[in-house]
Amino acid sequence: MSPDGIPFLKIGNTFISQFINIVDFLTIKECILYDTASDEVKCDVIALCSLLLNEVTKCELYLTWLVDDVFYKVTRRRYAGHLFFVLKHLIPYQRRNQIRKELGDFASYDLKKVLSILELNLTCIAEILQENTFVIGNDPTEIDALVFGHVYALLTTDLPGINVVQYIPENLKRLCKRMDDMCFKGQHPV
Amino acid sequence: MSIRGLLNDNISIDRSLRFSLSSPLEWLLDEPWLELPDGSKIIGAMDIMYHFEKQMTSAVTSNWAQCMAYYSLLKERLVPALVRIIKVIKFELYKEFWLNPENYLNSTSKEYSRAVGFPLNLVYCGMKRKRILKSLTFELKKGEEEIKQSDEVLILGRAKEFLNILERKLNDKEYFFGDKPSSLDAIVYGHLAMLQNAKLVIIPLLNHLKSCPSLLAHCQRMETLVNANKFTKVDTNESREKAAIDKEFPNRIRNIILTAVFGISTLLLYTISTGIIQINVNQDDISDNETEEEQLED
Repeated sequence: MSPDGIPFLKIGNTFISQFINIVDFLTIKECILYDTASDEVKCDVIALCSLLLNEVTKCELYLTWLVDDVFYKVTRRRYAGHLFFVLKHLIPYQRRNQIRKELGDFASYDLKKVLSILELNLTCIAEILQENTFVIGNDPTEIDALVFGHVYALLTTDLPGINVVQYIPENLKRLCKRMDDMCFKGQHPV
Repeated sequence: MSIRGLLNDNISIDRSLRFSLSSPLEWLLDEPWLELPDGSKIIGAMDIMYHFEKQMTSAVTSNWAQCMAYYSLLKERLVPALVRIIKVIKFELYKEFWLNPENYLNSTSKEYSRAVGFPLNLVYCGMKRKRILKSLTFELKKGEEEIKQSDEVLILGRAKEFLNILERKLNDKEYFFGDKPSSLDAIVYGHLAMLQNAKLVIIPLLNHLKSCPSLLAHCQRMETLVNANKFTKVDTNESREKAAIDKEFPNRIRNIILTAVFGISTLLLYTISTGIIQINVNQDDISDNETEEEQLED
């Protein structure tokens, strides 16, 4: 659907892909809610987004593509389920090699270390969230959207052999539930 | 360098720990490592700092969480630009040390042969020089066209943006999290110091850094702090004497072994030639073997 990857936004003839580009577009259109926040808070939001986009995404890619059990039982079927017979067996392996190359040194880590890195990163965000309604300030920001997107996916995807839910802090789960109620009116219960 | 920033957080650091930051060149090209007393190694600045952070507080603090977030941002935006700069510096260094004949003969080859050791040093330097010459000529042939201008601009733009973010975050404060230096200060200083000291090439990024007054002041503050906390080597009498002997007679052990081997072999030769030691070959055994072979042939 999108050549540069997900997420993407289509408004009329305008097509924007990648999270940062969408946020930049919304900032230009003055749709961002925390415009009144101080410079420091804005910097923190950018840094936290980077943590999620780089570190957590790396862990997720590792879990879905490089763990054999998950790859054969879940990822391969989801990724190539709609393709023809021969392609069904070729394309997932091609993509897997591509991801291994992209991850570089990270691909050589063992599962235990990757899970500990994932837990540490999520704990960092949970530490900043604490018991507040949103991660930063009283209004939802892009970091809330990003946390919701990642944590919701981790909560609702059943990975064979790995219990990811135990590595997600409780307050992040509650934030996820709140965001689901607020934006989707609980259509997809966590 | 980043660890020195942590010293101010009153962590007791075991002085027996070994750090890899022995030479500036090593620090420039490789990741730092820390060897623990049990022999295991921690590689990477962030992992080393997390090791000390865990010693101080058992749980993750909000300062550490922010530090992680900014480090991730730094890796995403500033590090690609620094890698480019390191590549240029490496290129210049190789050119200066290996291709300039004066430097090569007077310093590089001598240092390398001393480090490599006796039999290997006869071939090692020549081989390495040839290899470097080959790689450099290959890169020169490739030319500047290969490097996409758009990529260069993008990387620089992102790095500049990151410096602006740091400037806004610092916002006239002494350190990032108030009055005391933290891990984030150490990380930022560790990377910016490299940028400041890279004088071999003219860098637009350095000019941009000079236009950020808060960051420059922060760097100077950290520099004085680091110089004040510099690790001093314990200079005992024993180590001093050893160093003096080493300086006076380099490769002492090797020379002793070679002399011993030479002495023993000449003594043996002398004793055999004068007939003090006689080697008797049993003629019966040889004749027995010959008859057996003849029988087999028949």
